[in-house]
Amino acid sequence: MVSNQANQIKKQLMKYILILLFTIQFASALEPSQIDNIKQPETRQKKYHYTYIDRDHTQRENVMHASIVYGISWLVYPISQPETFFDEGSFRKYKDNFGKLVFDQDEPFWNWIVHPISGSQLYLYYRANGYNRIDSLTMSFISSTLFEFTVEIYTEPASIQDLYQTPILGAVMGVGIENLSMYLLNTGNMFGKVLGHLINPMTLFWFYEGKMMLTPSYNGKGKVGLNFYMDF
Amino acid sequence: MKIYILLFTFLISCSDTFAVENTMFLKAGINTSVTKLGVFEKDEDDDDDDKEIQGENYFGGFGFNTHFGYRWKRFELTASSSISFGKVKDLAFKINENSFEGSGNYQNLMVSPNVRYFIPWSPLNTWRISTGLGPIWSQQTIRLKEFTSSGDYAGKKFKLTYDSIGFGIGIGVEEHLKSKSLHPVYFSITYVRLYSVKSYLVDTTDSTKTNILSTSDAKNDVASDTITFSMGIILF
Repeated sequence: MVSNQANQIKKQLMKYILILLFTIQFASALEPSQIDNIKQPETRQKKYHYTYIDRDHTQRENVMHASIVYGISWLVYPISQPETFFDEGSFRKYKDNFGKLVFDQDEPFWNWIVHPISGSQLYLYYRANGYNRIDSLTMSFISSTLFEFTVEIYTEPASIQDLYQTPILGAVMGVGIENLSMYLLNTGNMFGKVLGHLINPMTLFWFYEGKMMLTPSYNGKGKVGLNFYMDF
Repeated sequence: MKIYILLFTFLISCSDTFAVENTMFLKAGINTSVTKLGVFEKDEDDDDDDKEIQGENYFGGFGFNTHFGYRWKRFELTASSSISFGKVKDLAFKINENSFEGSGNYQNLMVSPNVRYFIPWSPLNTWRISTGLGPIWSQQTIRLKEFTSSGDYAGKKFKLTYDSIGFGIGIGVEEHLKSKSLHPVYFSITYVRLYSVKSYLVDTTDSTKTNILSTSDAKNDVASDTITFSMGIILF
């Protein structure tokens, strides 16, 4: 009886909220002709244009980037999973697990969410450093294989799922994040920029090679232009 | 015999130029499958020790597939993976003398090195036909939701996993486009046969930790036949 009354009240309340929303919409909505009269630029003014510029890399650069990622993974692994690393890890385990390859028994949260997300950020790290898509995937593959066979074995044997899913699903996810973040960053509005950087944080670092400064120019005779500037 | 020679000569003489060749690539897409899961056990009525099929289940599933590899002119070598999710009903099997019977969710993850050959015959102008095969390593997971068990497992959250090996053989078509940046579409039908080699009973109460309750050899305890229909695009 009480729940029926509560439902009735909820329905009434929803009705009034809907009526209120429609009223606000009608009162404040502009007619198409009015919208045309408001002079607004077609696009927002932007200081930077965000993109990816693919270039070739030397062997030295490849080794350097792989080493940086490898070093960071030795730091990030114990920090991100301290209980697993310090309670379950040991150099005795490292020796036992060396060269072993198994199907892990991890829950979907790890295999379908955590690993692909880390793989996508790894892929985006290489993209930010000017690697093309296929080279970014290849470098991610190398980095995650090194992690699986020489870092994670401190606590558990290398896993077939992680070995494959981290770089491959990471790259699939990475392409999506890449496209969405570029779109958001180039909208020019603050919300888009924050969200774009949030999903693709590699665009915030000094090594990101695709940030171009845009400078509008005017020659005084009615001609306007836009200059691109970027560092290599 | 002459017909075969003529056919062979015809196939060899068809030398299309392939736009997407001598390149690395990543393909990804979705798949749907039909699986027959067979559980083998010793028949107590029989005198012999041979395992016999005690139950079969048919069920559908869906999931996604990815292929990363290198393509030459007519061959491609890929590291491929396919995942399929489905629901099983009235499944009965044993792990370490604990028998289970019930219904729940099924997941099959397959990883495979795959060789694919593009047939030099294009009856369909914008499509090319290919055939592929490869060994498969698989992990089949069953999460029983409603079940009865001979052991003390009632009310507990756990999963059963089978490490399996097998093979897959398939035929497919792929769009014949100038460049992989046009994201050619592919379709394929694959037959997969898997045999279990090892089984695990895993406590899933704490999702952050892996708690294996028991492990046993499960050579040929579970066999599955799957027909998978896949489709997707070359991403890059």
